[in-house]
Amino acid sequence: MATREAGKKMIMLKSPDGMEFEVEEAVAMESQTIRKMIEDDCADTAILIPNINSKILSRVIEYCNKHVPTTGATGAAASDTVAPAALAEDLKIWDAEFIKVNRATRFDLIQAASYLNIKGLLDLTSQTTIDTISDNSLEEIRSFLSTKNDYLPEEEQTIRRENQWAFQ
Amino acid sequence: MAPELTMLPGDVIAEVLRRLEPHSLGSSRRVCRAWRDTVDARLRGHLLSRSVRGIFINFPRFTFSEFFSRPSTGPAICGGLDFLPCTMGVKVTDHCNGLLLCRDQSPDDARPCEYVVNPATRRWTRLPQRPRPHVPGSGQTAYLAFEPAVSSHYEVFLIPCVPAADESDDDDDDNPLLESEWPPASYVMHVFSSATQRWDETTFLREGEAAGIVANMHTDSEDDRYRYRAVYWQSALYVHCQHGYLTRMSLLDHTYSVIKLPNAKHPNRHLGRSVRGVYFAISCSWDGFLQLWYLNESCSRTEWVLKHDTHLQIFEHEDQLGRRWILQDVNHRKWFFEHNGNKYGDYRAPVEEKYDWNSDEDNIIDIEDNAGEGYHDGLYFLGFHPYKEIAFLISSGRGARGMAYDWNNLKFQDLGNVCPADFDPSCGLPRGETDTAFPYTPCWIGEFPGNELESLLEDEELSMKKLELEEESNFTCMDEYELRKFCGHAKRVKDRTAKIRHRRRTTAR
Repeated sequence: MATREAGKKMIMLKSPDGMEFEVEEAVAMESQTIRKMIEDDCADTAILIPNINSKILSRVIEYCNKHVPTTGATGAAASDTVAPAALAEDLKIWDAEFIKVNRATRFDLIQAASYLNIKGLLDLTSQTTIDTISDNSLEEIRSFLSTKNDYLPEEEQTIRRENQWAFQ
Repeated sequence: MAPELTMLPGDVIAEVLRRLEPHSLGSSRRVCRAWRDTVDARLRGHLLSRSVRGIFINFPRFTFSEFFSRPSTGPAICGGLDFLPCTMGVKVTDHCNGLLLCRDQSPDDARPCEYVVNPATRRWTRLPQRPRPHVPGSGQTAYLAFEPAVSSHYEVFLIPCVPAADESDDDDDDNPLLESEWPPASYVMHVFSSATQRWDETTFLREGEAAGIVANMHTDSEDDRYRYRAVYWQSALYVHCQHGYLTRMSLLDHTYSVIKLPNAKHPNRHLGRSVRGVYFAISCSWDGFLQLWYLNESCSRTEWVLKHDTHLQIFEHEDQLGRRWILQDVNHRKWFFEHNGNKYGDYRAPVEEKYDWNSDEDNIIDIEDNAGEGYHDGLYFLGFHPYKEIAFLISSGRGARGMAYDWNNLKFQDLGNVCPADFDPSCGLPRGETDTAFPYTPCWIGEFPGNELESLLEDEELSMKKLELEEESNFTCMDEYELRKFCGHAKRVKDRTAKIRHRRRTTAR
């Protein structure tokens, strides 16, 4: 990669509410969507990220910054002295801290991770959500999601019958 | 206004929900419409594979089940069951949604061990010894009930057979047992539950008529050589009994009813599960007779509907390039090489080719095209595809070919050679003759209440003891081969234990 030799190539990301974020190319390329744009040369000056507001975008960039492979980057000197296992452990703790956000932000992050195609972030956000809902009753899930039961009574009967063998 | 999870686009919801275990995924359909639609459209069968990855086949006179494996791009399934501690042979006796029930074939064991195995994840558990039957002298057959969409726990049912009363004395007329109804009004059986880890007694109460009286069961007994199958479908276990009836046992309210089977003079009958529920096949190996029935239970009554009635011809095929299923044949061959050394050449595990398989293309033969070229030698029914109206057959002429038969469109698909490599033609059996076969759909759920570690440690101790014994005794040729067997076994056990320990440690972290 020639860009690494010439210092760090920077990419400008724009959110729809007008904020601009200058990030290293390597960091932006954590997102497969942006990587594709860069590789296809459709990203000359700035990339507009639709649907993701600046607050969420800054969190996403924060995540990518932390997770970008440290080889050759600024963290290289530090990571040489730390065992890879310890580094992974470190990252895990960081992730756990990172995901301590309110529900709405987490869902925004899921959507952003899905649109930008950042696998690690998508795994993290979805898994956290799943962990909260998997052992709860339907009502608890609904209240957690602040959604309503939108089935008509007769529909509920049908789906209950479809799933009848599912509650013993 | 932040988006709610239920309002996110479908693919984002799917991305989140796909991480759920299947049983949670099933109940998540009830949260709201958006989730139901997402699950139905994108995630059904996500963790429960709906494709048949192969067929476990029991050939007569082979002590191991063989795996007739379908080529695929997914992770390979090794039907080699060699991770089980059964050196003398092991046969699959039942299959239910990705779990196998297997029985050790050691000839010296009076009460052979039984295992519940998930070949996809290679986890297994050894069942405690079966309890004795209630009626002395009568046999019991074991069947699995497992529905991963409901629970990661499974149950094993021991179904009592008709008591053998004629041994007691000769004046049969006085024997009250012979005049009693069969199956009894309260049918007591042993059930092993993986949740409790023990055999418990369960009583099923009959609804409706009995099949007959015990005395008649003996007179109209059919060919006993084939094992009778059971089907687990929506919390009911359908057990095929050899006297021309079926018991439908509801596991929800512990009742059962007797269902008469469609009548036919032909000997080979197979119960199976397919797309709409319970199916039944009647076949005849020598004249190609094949009838396929479906048990219609919808409109509050239960009746058999004849779906297909035909006489099939036997087809001859040469191997074509690629896209073949492979009889892995590993079990028997591995055993053979372990016992005979490598004098017949190195043992090589067959390499599974990786490619996509599509039932829509492939070497499909139109049934009409081949009419008249029949080679009447043998047609054996293997089983039903659990999710498509397709039957698997073996067509046995000069060679034995596995066949998939789409009976609605009258299409055949040649799957490949199913004849085991060291099949001995002199034993007088047709090449495609099978005892039982189990179309296998894998279950990728890692959670499985296994006890493999404990069992392996137990075995390790046992084999070490045996080793010591052998060291003391004089060496004969037989001893040497026994010794070699145990060395190999002990090593495998050790490796396996270490691997499992490692895995447990990593998952615990």
